[in-house]
Amino acid sequence: MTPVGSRDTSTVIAVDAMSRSAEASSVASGDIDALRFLRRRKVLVLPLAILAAFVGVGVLAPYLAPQSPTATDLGLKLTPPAWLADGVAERPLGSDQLGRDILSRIIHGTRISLITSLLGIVLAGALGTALGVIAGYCRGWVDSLIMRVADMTLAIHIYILAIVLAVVWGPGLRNVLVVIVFLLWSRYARQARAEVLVLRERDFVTAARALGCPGLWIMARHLLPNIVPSLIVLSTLQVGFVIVLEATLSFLGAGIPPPAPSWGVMVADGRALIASAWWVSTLPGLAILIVVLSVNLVGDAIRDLLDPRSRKL
Amino acid sequence: MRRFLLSRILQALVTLWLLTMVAFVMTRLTGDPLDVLLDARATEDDRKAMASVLGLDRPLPVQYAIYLGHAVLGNFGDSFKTRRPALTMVMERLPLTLELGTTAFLVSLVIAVPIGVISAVRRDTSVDVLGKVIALLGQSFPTFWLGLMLILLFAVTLEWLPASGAGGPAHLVLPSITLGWFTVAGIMRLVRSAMLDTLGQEYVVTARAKGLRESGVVWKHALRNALIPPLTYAGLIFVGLLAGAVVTETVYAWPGVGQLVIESVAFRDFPVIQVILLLFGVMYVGMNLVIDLLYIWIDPRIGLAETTVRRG
Amino acid sequence: MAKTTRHIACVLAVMLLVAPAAVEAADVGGTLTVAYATLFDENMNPLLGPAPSKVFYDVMYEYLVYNDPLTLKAEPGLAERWSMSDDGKRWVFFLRKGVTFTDGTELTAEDVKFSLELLVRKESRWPFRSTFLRTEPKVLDRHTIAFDAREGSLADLDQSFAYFLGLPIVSKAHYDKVGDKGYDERPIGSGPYKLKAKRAGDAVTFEARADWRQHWRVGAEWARHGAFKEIIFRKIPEVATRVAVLRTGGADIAELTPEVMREVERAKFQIVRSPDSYVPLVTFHGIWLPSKPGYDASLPWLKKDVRQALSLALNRKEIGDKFYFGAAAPTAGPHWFHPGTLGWNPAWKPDAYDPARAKKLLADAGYPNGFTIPVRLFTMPGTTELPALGEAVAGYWEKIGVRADLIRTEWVVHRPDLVKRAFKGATIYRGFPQVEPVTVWRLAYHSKGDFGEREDPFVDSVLDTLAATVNAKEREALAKKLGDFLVTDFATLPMVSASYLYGTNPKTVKAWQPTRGKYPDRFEWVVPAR
Repeated sequence: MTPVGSRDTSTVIAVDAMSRSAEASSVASGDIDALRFLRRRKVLVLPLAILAAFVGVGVLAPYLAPQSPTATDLGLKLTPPAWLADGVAERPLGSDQLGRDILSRIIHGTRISLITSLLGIVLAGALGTALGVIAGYCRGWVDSLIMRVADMTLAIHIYILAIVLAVVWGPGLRNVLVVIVFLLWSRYARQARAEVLVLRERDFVTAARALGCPGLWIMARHLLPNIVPSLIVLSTLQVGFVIVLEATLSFLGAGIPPPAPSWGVMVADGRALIASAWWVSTLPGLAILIVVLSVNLVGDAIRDLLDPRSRKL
Repeated sequence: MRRFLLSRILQALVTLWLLTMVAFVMTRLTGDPLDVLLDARATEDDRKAMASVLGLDRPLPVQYAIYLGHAVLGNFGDSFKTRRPALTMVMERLPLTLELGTTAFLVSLVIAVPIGVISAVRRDTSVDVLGKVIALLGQSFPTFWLGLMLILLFAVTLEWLPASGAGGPAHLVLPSITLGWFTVAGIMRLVRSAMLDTLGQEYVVTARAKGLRESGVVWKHALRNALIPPLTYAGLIFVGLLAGAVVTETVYAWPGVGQLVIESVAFRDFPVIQVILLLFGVMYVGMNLVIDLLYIWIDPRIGLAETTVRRG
Repeated sequence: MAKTTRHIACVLAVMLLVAPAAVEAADVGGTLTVAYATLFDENMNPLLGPAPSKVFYDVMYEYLVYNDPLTLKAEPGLAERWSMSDDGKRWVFFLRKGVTFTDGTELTAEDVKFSLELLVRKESRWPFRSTFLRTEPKVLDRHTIAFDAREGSLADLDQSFAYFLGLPIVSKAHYDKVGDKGYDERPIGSGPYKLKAKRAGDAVTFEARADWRQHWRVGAEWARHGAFKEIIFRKIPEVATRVAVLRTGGADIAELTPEVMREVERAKFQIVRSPDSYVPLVTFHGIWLPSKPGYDASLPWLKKDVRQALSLALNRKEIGDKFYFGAAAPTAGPHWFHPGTLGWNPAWKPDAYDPARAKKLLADAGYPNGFTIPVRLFTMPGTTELPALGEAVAGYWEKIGVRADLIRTEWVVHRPDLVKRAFKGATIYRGFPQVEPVTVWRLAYHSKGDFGEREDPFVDSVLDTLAATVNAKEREALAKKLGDFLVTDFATLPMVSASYLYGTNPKTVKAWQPTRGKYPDRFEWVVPAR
């Protein structure tokens, strides 16, 4: 991170540009010096550590949580965090309206947030990428059709869809995933299509076509690997969005239903208590904040690293 | 140009027709409105009578045909709940939602554009990071939570602003910040990207390396380029804001279309739900069409093909 | 000296003349703002929805019969008295004279007949439509109206023909003039307030009528205590926002949930309760007649001992103290039996909290390792805490080995399953005092009823006999018989008797008592603090 101080801005930018060009050439040769990249951006250390911890907690949740996340105990209802007056040791971060341990619920909620966002993004990404590649490669009416469907998907009011799904299926993970896929698949499709439109004119593709390779083979073997980096960038930027979306869906009664301790459910269920028992919704809200902020900062950095457009000479 | 216009309009109409089918199917999936409209003590005869009044006793394809036929003429049926025209019910609430959405969008721009510009200029510095964090905060907590916290802070504790409802400009402040902060991050990224694109161009870098200061022309050019991506996606962003208004309106008791969404689905008020779905569809399709045309008008060099590619 | 005495005498005389007027010059002024979670249908035409769920009807419309807010006993309203013929084929109501609508016209028997005919129309959503379809209204004279049975008798309607509670009387002349479509914009009633304005989805505003002093119902009281000139009903769906609006002075009365009680109290606002207004309870589904197609003999909760065990596992005191923040107390009695209404037996006591005995009962019944039971959770208007209570119940049952499979749904999704006998399990539901409970007993307990909470030939026979009984004492005896059976059968598990909670601003509201059991809420009786 180049410090801003007495140095003239233009010099800074120039120096930046020169070192960036060196970096660019090393990238162009297919070799990314991640460590050097990291070293120059010390600000990323904390978010990355947080994300690593997030994944770790999610994986090890059952072993880490001191209590069961769903065991109710009305006697301990709404106890404040242990460091405040009236707090108790068995409820280090306090307890909710049914006396459940908030710390344990946050820990188990990590798992749910992790699974929901990963699953949702993978599904949306897979569907969107496949359709986008097909659209970009085949062009013609297939392209038009897919793009029109994408447009239509975005024209449907997402919260009406979410609430209708909750009514038809009852609230659950399935609904949340459908909503996520509905919202995000077209972003992947557009990106994939745009990249494929460019790539298909390249020599190696025309050569493959001339050799008679079937379209699917070309798409899978030649096009897909080249667009993966930008799709990864796109994905990292959606993780935060998905976690927050799940909370909003819980608020509307269309999310993952209780007693599952998802962070979204915790924030939504505790919202009447923000003035009298703030810890019930604020602490999971803080968890969401920290994780989403970290994911977005890291995602932005990855995009800076991998996206050729932002590495201008 | 005219052919392009015609083909786009045709596509829009097809999309809208498909939307009427989606709206029809989605509402029918939610179950039987009679269970909501009639009390538990209603008898079978009561149900039959009400079903015939509401037109729900006919076969589904017939219901759809009637619905479509009337819709084309502008008649969207009467609300099951209030027996008033569904279109009127939505239209009388729409201005409030538009007011909220527009203000939120402006708030978003006013915050995001300067941050995006400064972040681009002071790239990778602590200012850049600070700007990113401020923008990202808007996407890092759920809107309803932000809304309730703002009410608690600014209305109850500080008593600077009203806690809820629609009224004068003071009532608009908290809801529009709550709604608009979410899109700040997205707009900021677009602006920052576009600024970097322009500032990174060869002649600018060369000029700087030679020690020359950026000229006003370069700055104007860069800023104009920075505003194009947000405008390109404005349709998407704005309609997204209007959809997101559901949550903000519920928290602030803002009597717009957003709250009507929740009421009408809870009530299985098919005509109203259908009108809202169509309305959003029309707005989305319409906005994109307008922006495409604006794009071509502003910069004919871009060409028609590129317009579609830019937006995808 | 004489002049001074004369002066003093004059002043005294004037004071004596003015004094009574000064005492009686109570103020009808100011605005009362009431914040509710929902305004339900928001329309003023009784044709279009169940009036008991419209929170603001009773300031504008009036009813033949009223009930005491706490004892729920029937009281004269627009009808001064009423009686049923000995054969049960006719009810006669004698109307008060001199009651006027806000346009000055007198309310007569023609208006009552018209109101009823309005409400049995095909488009009507009135819940008692089917009851009134059995009657034929006849105008006997200007202030007397009779209801004749079309077939059979009307004897099963209780002593007050309580279906008239909450039946708004509209003006026939006015309705004929403006019609269906126009009525919603320009409704008129005989009540103390008239509609001033409304904004869709936001607020409905009422204004006191100018001639309130002559009003039969409020004239004297308002002159004594004063009243509000304007009442605004606001819709604010989020409870946290309602509390914020109360705290910032945007509302004088706000509908609360138990969760926010502490915050409201700490902010130095008053909590007003409508006491003993509802009873959250566990209902069971599957205890049907063996001849019913859905009957499944293997369900554990078909055994009375199992149901009793599930009841003993509940810590009612803790639920009242902790879950309801002290605003509820342990209670007893079957679903739809409440203190002060038909069939209540004061000897019923809440079940004890005895998990050890519960486990033993389960083991003896053949379930030493417990079992799994599906539990459906849904909110009902005014009781949004029921799903969370369900989680607490699941917690108690877990401790005796019974696993509750919690299913979050909606009442409108669940209800059709009840009718079809498609759901076997439990729900967390609520009952509230009914002035006339026989209809809901039929729905809940009769084998032909919708809710299917306990089907049994004995229950069917008691209910059928009740339908044919006219004598009040006999009816009470039959009702007690039914109640005693249901209680010892653990057909449903009552938990606590809870109150609806409202926050009021002591600076603007001096006194107010809402009705037990929810609506009507009697806002025309709010006493302003001056």
